[in-house]
Parts: sequence; structure tokens; C-alpha cells
Amino acid sequence: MENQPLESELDDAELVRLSLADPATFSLIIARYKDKLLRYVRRLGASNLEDAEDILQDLFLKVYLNLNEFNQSLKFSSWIYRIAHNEAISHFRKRQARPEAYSIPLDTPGLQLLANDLALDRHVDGILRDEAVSKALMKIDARHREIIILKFFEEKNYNEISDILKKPLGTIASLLNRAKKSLRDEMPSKWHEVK
Amino acid sequence: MQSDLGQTIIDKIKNESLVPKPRWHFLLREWLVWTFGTLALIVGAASVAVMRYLAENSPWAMHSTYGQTFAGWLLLSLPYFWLFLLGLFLWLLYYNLKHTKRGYRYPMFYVALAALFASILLGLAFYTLGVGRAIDGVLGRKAPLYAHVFNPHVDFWSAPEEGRLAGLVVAHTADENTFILIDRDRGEWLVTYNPRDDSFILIGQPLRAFGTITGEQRFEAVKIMRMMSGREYFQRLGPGNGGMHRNK
Repeated sequence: MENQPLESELDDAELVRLSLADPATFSLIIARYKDKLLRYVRRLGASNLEDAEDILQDLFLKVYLNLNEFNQSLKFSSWIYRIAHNEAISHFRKRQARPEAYSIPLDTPGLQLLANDLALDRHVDGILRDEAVSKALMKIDARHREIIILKFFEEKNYNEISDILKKPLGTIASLLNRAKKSLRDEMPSKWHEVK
Repeated sequence: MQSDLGQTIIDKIKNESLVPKPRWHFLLREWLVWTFGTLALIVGAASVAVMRYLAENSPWAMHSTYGQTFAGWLLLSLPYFWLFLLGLFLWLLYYNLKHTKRGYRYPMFYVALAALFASILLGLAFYTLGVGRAIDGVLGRKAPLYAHVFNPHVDFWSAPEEGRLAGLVVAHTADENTFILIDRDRGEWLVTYNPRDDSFILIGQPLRAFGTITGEQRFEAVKIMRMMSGREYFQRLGPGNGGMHRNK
């Protein structure tokens, strides 16, 4: 018994293997990802908590049913984020509802990172700037918003975003540039840093 | 609810006896994608092989001699059906490549280019192995609308008023400079070719000729070539395949 690894020490692939043998182990995967994915689904546009939880339940069931599809050439987190992304989009489609922009709380670490990346005037008050970025995020195109969410709020790298959205790396890079440009265009022009 | 989420899902899995889809289900899907991709590649390559074979009938340098601009000659002789088929199966190959497990990682342009190059290379290999000729032969013997759909060169070479005549040699005449040829409409032509080369102008041999009409059903050839693609189609005109009849 002493040699048994703690549940928290098991990596995702190991948890998948155990879940295939015993469904009860799947609850460890749920516990590991539910908060991250709930935040992600809400940021994608399920601003209503109940809706987000419905999506979460459906997506975890889908993950369980498709456990055999996962293979280790992909990070498990990329694979589960991909399913979460697709499930959220299909949920919006089924309800024929446009994803509602979710207001990013001002204390979210990614917000400052994003604001710094937009090359805005450094003299603008930080809180004012973060607030404006958060509001601008609600105005831009959903496709642009989702890539910004993955990069700055979910802190995924280009390879992971490519695996989640199933798009080539070059497309991810150019989509991200366009997303940042459209976000910048939503900011007051007097804040645009003169180069 | 969120704190109970794990338990809710595990209960649902147990109550509804849900089990993960078997691994073979996913392997089969991947296998089908690759199989359809391979089939698309083979059909696309076969189209390339036939087009390359059809190109053997193309007198690349002679279009201006016979009243055609290069563009006009190209429009008349382009194998539209095979180009369409190649385009369709290239798209299918591209679609299947993009839907393989890793297909999304490669840019659209490179996948499309890879599909095109693979089809052309395999098509040229098929051509070298005689696949283009074999397909044209089978279609020429059996396919209805062969001349209208599969081989535009039959139309191209069936324009005696523009100096192009194709058909099947059915007889040598007593005059050693003439022979009889029947065209695709089973019209009989007395063709003059000076001197008639009997080792080349064989009875039962499909030929094509450049020249001019010199009278009713008379054609003076200045250049005679073997029919490459369409050979089997013209063989349909031979004895035992519906016979011949004289033009009125």
C-alpha cells in the first residue's frame, strides 16, 4: 500500500487508463478539470452558470464515452479542452443562441498580460486600462475572443491552441494577431501607443 | 451543483450502464479516412494517366498550320471530363488528409499541393505502366458517349473541313497512292497519300491525318499519324462491329 502513488500524483494518461478499468476513477479527472473547464466554458459565452454547468456535465459524459479516442500523441488537457470547446459551440448552436460575452473579472491575471500585449500608452491608469480591455473583449468577434481566451486566460501555448481548435500553427498565429488588432481597435484611439 | 458534479456524472454512468466506445471504433474511423483518401489518390492518378495518354494525340507544334490559335486548339482538345474527375478526387483526397488524426496541423495550401503532386507523380507512374492506355481502351470499346465525354480528340480529329480526319483503314486501292478510311460516322473516304506506305497504313489500323478535302469524300493527306487514344473506339467501326456503309 505504501508504494501506491497518491491520486494527485497520477498523470492524466494514467487516470484515463484507470478510468477505463473502473468508472469511479473518472471522478478524479472531473475533479482535476471541472473548475478550469467551467471557467473556460463561461468565458466562451455561457455567462449563465446553469447553462455552463449543463455544458460541463454533457462534456464530461462525452469525455468518458470517448476515453478510448485519447492517445498520448496529444496532451490530455488539449484533448479535453477541444471537447469542451466543441461542446460549448454546439450548445450555443442547438439553443440558437449567440454566445454571450462574459465579463472578465478585473483581477484575472491574464487581463494584465493581455493589456500589456496590446501596446497601449503606458501612462494610462492600469485599472482603467484593464476595465477597458475587459469591455472591449465583449465587443469583438467570437472567433477572435476564443483565441484570446485560450492564449491569455487559459495560458495555452500555440501548439496547444492548434490542437484544441484543430487549426495549423500559422493560422493560429495570424488569427491571434488579427484578434489583438481588433481588440486594440476597440480601445480609445488616444491610448494607442505612438511607435 | 458543481461540487456534486463528479458524483452526478458517476451515478449517471452507473445507472445508465454507460461504457466508453471501444478503441476499434476510433481505429476504424481513422482507417476509413485513410482508405477513402487512398482511393481518391488512385482515381485522381488514373485521371492523370489517361490525360497523359490522351496528350500523345496532341500535335503540340502544328496548331497554327491548321487554322487554330493555340488557345482555340487547347479549348478543343482539353480533356474536360478527366480534369473534372481529377479536381473532384483531389478535393476528396484533400478532405480526407485534413480529417486524419494529424491533418489539421498542416496548412491548407501544403496539403492541397501535396495531394496534387502525389496524384501527378502516381499518375505518371500509372501512365508508364500502361494504365492510361488500358483505361482508354476499355472505355473506347464499351463506353457509350465515349467520343463526347471521355476523349475530346475524337471530335478534334473528326473535322475534315478544317483539315483533320481520323478513322479506320478498311482497304488499300489499286492506285498505290490511295486507301479507304471510314470516319466516326461510318462515312467512307478515299484518302490520297503519296507515296502510300503499306507498312504503316495497315488495314484495320486507326489513323489520323492532316490535309485538305479535294472532292466529295476525298481527302488529300499531307501527314498521317497513328491514332493513340481512341484506337479502340475506332476499332468499333471495323468488320464484325456493325459493318460499314457507303456515304450517299
